[in-house]
Amino acid sequence: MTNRRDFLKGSASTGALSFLGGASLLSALGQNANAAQVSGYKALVCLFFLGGQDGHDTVLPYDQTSYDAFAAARPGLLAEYAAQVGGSTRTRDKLLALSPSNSADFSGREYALPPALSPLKALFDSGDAAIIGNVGPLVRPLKRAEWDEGSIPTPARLFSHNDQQSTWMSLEKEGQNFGWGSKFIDSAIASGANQNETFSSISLSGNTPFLASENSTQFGLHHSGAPSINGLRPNYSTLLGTSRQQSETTALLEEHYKNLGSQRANLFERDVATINKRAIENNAFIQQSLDNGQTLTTIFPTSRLGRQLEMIARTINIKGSLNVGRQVFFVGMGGFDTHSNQVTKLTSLHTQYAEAIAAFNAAMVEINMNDDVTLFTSSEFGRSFVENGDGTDHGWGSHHFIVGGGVKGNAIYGDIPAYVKDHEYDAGNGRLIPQTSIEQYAATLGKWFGLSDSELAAALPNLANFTQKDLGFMAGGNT
Amino acid sequence: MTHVLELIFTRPKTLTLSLCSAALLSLSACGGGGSSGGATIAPPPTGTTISKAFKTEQSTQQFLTRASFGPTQSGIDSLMGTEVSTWLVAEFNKPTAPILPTLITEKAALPEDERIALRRITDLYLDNAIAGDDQLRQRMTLALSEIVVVSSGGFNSFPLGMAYYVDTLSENAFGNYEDLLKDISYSPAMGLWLTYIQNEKGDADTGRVPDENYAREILQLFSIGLIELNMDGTPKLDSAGNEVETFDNDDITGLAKVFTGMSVDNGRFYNVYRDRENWYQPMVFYPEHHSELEKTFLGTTIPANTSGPESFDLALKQIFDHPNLAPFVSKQLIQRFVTSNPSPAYIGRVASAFEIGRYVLPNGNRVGTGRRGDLRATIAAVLTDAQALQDPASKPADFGKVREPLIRVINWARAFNETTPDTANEYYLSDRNTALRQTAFRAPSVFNFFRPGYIAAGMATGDAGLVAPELQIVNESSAIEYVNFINRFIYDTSPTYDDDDEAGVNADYTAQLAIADNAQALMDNLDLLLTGNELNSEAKTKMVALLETMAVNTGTDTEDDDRLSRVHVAISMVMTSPGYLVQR
Repeated sequence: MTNRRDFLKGSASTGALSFLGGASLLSALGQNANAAQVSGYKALVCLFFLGGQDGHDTVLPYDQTSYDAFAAARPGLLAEYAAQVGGSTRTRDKLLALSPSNSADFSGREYALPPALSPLKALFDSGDAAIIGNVGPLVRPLKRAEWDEGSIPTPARLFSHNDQQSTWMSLEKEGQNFGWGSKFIDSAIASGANQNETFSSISLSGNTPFLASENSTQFGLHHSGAPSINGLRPNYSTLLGTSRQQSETTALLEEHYKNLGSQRANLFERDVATINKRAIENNAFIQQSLDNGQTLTTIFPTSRLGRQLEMIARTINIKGSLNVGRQVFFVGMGGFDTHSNQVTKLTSLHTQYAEAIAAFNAAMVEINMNDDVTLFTSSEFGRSFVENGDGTDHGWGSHHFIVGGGVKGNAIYGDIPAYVKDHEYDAGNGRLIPQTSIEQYAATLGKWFGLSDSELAAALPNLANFTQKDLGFMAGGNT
Repeated sequence: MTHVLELIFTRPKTLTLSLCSAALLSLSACGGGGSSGGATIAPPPTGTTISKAFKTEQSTQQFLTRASFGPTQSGIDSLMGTEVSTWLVAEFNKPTAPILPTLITEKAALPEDERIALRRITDLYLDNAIAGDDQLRQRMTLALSEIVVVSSGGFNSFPLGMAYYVDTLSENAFGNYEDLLKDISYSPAMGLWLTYIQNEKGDADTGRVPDENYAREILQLFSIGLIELNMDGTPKLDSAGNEVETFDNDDITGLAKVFTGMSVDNGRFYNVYRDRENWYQPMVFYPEHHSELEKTFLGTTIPANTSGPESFDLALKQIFDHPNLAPFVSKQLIQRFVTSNPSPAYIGRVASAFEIGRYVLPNGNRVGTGRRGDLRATIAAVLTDAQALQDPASKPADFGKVREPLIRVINWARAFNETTPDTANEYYLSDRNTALRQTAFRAPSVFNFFRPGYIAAGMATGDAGLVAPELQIVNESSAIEYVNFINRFIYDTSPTYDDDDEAGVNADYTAQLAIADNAQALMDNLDLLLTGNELNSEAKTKMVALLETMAVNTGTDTEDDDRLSRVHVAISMVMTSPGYLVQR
């Protein structure tokens, strides 16, 4: 990565401008159909609900028939909602009814969001948010009869948390996987989107398969910033005690921390050395850029997710200093495995993420980046429609949100099955067989991000098994 | 010391000579010089050579790195030249150091409506880990807590329940895995953590079904895993070359019925909201809430109307008897103690000890009861396997593991002779501190701090097809936060609640200060003590060169501080270097 930057600097200074950014120029002119279109700036933000969010209790039925069916199927949970202080948030009159522009597509079925998602409802109404119904991992289209027969291949290790997280992020069970987020960014990098590749893919939640790549590295950023070694600099190193003012010793100590110089035989040593070196070389730079960046006036909630999305907003705001034209961010939020006590847990989680997403959206509007940044939600699986008393169990397909100025909002894409059991997309106990594949979901985002059809096909191996490659929820895409 | 060294260097030679002289009688063919002394030197009493474990300072250090929370110089000195089998048996026979009784006493002294702070559990545990005599049991407790995970994250209201869980692990550490599975499954803490406490049987009228959480995780994470395994841990493949999944969701819904009707033993199924003594007793079945339906899973069917306890025992037996159990558990234990990527042969040998419940120690004595799942046999096999004890020079580039961050901190305290730790006084050792990405018994989920199958995709280990569990929590932020964390302790700037200089967890650098004037000697001392002489030689040369730029102004009033500065920097460099961060 340093090599590329140095090379570009070098060519510019020697006047070799015809070479500079040749690939990006070509793709900007639309002359290379096989390369990503990387003009301007675009970012994808993957918000992952760890544990498996219950889609049935997130996008709720609103028409009386559907609501009654839902209430009949979940008496235990509705009783618990009714017992909450302030009364139930799940009575029909408390639900926030949606009026999607494509309401005619749902055969009279109507949908609503729970009160805790009201900030997200406002974004839906204003056209900055859309819902994608019943999306999940598939090898190819599938219905109940084929599932029962086992006649069509399905993703490995369904219903297992770690494997389905990995599948959502990288289309494979847990292993040596490269995520579709990283494949998207690698295509953009190959087209010359980022003069500095270090900050192309950034995780706020530790190492993630979504951003693991053969060709680039994910950068781990903490919501409080990028830490540096205390006492090493500036001026002198207090770590050296009585030798603190010796610049030679300080330089040697810095070199130690960078772990430069020795090629290590042991592969684990090599990896920890690589990470240390990357941290020392890059943390101070990004932290200084953040410190120098314009302060956002948008107030974020103080929740962990609020702070994480604030850090992403601040990072997008310094894209010029970071020298990036395309970025992919990842942030995970835990707590969605609501086998028990779903009523309290999910309501709190809804409140937290709706408020944080709304603040993030406001910040993007504030810095005039809303059209160029798309946040989308995901989760390893939905949950069973059948309840276990005070919770729900591991499912498969679920409903998700896409948020940003580039989203064709106020609409529901895909389908949301009836709130009953044993329909043709029920894999048992109301675990939804997805009607839309993750890969269709990803392809729609990837196309907006600038990837060519061939790059999308390479990043999403099963996309070819689905007719509709663009679900139409992004501006500039097909419908 | 001299005596011990003599023993080390003479004993193997003695053995060779006596063997050779014996062979002479029948074959009259032995290398030169063998015939003169052999007959006059008595063979070692056990009939075998000393195990490689305690042969040299280096091997002793490295064995103790795996089998304890880190060696001390006195530990190395006293064990070198002795028999590792003796040490292991002694560890097995040490009593447990339970946490719960202390907390019960502390609770009794509190007003009725006050609870014990959760951090008391980690305080007491870390005190034991640092200074306790039962080192192998303490290590085993941590290892088990990362396999059968319960996180104290949700236990603010039930600290004694969590303490009971930790003690359950510790008590079963050298017992049997089947008993362990039974005890943890009856533990209220597990019931709360995996949500099957108060789990109701299904109700056909309302459509309610039992909670599936524990049924899934006891299979996937605690016993058999997701795919069929050979005894050496490699996946079994079907005729098409595909992995074979061990269960499907029908098994889960079937097994879920077993774990219905359990709650704390206070006579009231629904009333668990008090941290009373029933939180540190096994849960019981409440018959009216236990499913009376047929329970079908893993190829077995428990007939309708079987009681809770009976169903539980049948289910546990079915799970425990699964052939995956030995390789599944064995591999993870090897990963916790020795290396992230044990060879199939190594896994197979440990699995065999687990399977037959016995293991022949290096001195020829046997450990284990002969019952499948014996953890003495299993851990002895993990620690004394030839792959674990191979010579440092011959270790391949894929051997070893990233040290767990928490263990690094305890390594430091032990290496520098903290014998009276007061963890409770250390602000940074609070169970809420996230800088290390690891706090004892506080994993973010049942999937632990890191997964045993984590692959650092795109990195050197990932490209080589290796798993690297601990690397899952190493990134640009955590790598630096660790440096700052450990430096606070090394430099004695970690804040304590009491003002007293001696409060908290502190180092004694006397031995290092005594040799601080000689940078090479200081580095040699730390290299042995902390890494078992595994520092990269080029890196070590640079460390020495750096220390040599730090003058010790002998005869001036800064000389003591100069030496202390050198010692601080030297320890910090070692404990932040790849040669230390990776245990080999």
